[in-house]
Amino acid sequence: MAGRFSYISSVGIFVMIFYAILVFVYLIASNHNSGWDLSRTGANTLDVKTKNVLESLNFNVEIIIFDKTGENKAMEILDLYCAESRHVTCRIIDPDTRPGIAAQYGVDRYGQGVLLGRHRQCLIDSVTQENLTNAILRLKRDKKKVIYFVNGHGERDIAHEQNSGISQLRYDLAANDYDVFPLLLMRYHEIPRDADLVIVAGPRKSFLQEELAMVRTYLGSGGNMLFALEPGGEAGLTGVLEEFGIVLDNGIIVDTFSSMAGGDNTAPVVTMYGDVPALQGFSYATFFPTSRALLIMNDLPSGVEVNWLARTSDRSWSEHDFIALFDGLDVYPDEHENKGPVNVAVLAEKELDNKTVSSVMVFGDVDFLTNAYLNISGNKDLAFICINMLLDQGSLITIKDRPAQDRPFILTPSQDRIIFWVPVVVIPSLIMLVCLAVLFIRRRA
Amino acid sequence: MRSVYFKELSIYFSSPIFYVIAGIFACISGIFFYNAMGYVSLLSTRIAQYQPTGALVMNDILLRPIFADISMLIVFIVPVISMRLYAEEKAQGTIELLFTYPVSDLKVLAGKYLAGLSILICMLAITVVLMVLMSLITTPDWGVVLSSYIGLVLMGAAILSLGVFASSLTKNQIIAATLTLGLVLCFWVIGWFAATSPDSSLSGFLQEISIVSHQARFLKGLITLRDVVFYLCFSLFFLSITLRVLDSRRWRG
Repeated sequence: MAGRFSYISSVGIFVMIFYAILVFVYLIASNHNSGWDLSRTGANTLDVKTKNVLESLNFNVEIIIFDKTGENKAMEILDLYCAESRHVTCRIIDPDTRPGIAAQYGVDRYGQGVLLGRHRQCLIDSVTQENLTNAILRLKRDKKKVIYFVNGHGERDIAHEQNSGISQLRYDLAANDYDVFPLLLMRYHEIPRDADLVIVAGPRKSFLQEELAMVRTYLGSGGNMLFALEPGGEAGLTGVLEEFGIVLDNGIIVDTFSSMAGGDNTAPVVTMYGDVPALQGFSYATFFPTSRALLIMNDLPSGVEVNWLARTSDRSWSEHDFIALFDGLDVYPDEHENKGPVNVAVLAEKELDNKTVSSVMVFGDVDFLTNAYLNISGNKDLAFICINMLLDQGSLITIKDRPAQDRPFILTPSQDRIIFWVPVVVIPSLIMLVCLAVLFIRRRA
Repeated sequence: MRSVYFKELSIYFSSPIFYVIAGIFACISGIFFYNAMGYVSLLSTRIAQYQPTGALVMNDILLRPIFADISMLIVFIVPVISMRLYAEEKAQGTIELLFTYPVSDLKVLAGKYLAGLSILICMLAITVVLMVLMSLITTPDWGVVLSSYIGLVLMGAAILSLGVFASSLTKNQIIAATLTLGLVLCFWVIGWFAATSPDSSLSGFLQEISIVSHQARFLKGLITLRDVVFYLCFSLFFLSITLRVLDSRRWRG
């Protein structure tokens, strides 16, 4: 009896040690990031730029994606990030079952996500490697980017909560890890040195000469500015913009083909976006109520490069007859008026002597940034992409998604017959014939 | 071990059960293949109409569904392969004879297990014809094909270890097969429960021990040390339990 007990005990101890070793080995393996991607396109491998970013990551990042849970393309990408760095954790939350969390992070669409780290957050619009990696890069910055909104010329107010204000934009920028301040230029001798971006949102009065000098000095030192200028609201900025190759048209864009439902022809819907990396794949419609056209000079000043960012349809034009337009009369494009597609957003970059780049982005409208329109369709997305574009120049990376490479095929009738008969009938029949042969041989033996 | 291995193989190949299972397996996987190819052809027709220059990711819409279907078939096929390994010996009373051989239990188990695994690999080899047929029409990603097969073999090996364990518990082959199927399905659907409460730590644990969650990466063309070690540890775990079950005759008397 004692011998049996001793035997059982020794076997039990051996078994426990063996199982503990198995668990230990598995735990080591599961924490060890070794894998072989055998796919032809390398679809399961992160881009080398992403790997470098993750390798130098020294704080924890939580990625939360708001989408339907279960089999999910987003999860496949997130798995790669989690496997690559022990600092990254990922989860998917269904915004329908947990709307509170979605609202907390300002998420209003399936597929959006938020990255949390260093007590900061960064919202992304869709789960792509480029978005995720650039969001991590933003979290890695040692200081927050600072945005100033100029006031004092009747600009839209970042504190104004009504429809015409831009308080919503301020909240969203703050939620995306930006410091946002108002800036009354008249009080200063120069634009603050910590300004990463200065926004002029819909001025109604002209800038003073001293203010224009400040703007020129700021841009001359590599600053970035975003102007949203309504028709009739040049604010004396024409000269500054012409130094960047941009000319303001004095009409209002009328689009008879693509305008906002329920509105008139002066609220064009834009679906054409420029060929700049940040706007690749951007496909939402955006609305620009009472917008002006922006022209690009044929002979650009030296060192200046201008790209259009958003354009109206080819059935639009810039109408100069305001009286007829607002009296509700039928208007048609005249010969001297600019015909569509016309630019509603352009980006000019000037290379300075010290090899730094100064950027000026101009929108022919400010309404699309206001509380009334910001959350309509893709307005907010476009605004954020453009603001990020100005703030992130040179600091972010571009990662091309691997395109689908396989050519589609359409089965011919003969192919269709072959792929049915061979695997479904011929091979099973052959196996059954072998079975009969084996049985026959066994019986004879 | 070698003699046990070859003896088991000869039993399998001389038994009509193997051929019937292989025939059914080939036929059903052929139907899955035909359906998947037909679906892609239909999708291609639509692309040709609306997006003439469009391209597809064949790995996602063709290879992965086919191999996922085959892995589901394995869940049902392996219990039939494994059910007889020990249960038949017990039913026929030859297990006592086996224990008197000058071969250790471990070697007998290894011989039987490897024989079952060889049979499974033979069956999977039949599906290579499907890949050859596919290559006549389109260009499959052979890397993904290879990793999928590696994943299927490893998963099959894990399920087979469960089957050997179930077979060692009973002398009734039907009970052995049913028990295996039940256990495999438990380890299969356990991942679904994890999806219902994705934030809990229990969910993470369930995902880790789910057979299917480790299979997914193989089907994408990704072989990770973690998944390989999981299947190997899973197999070793149940094989060692089987060994203990066989060994229990010593202290039960």
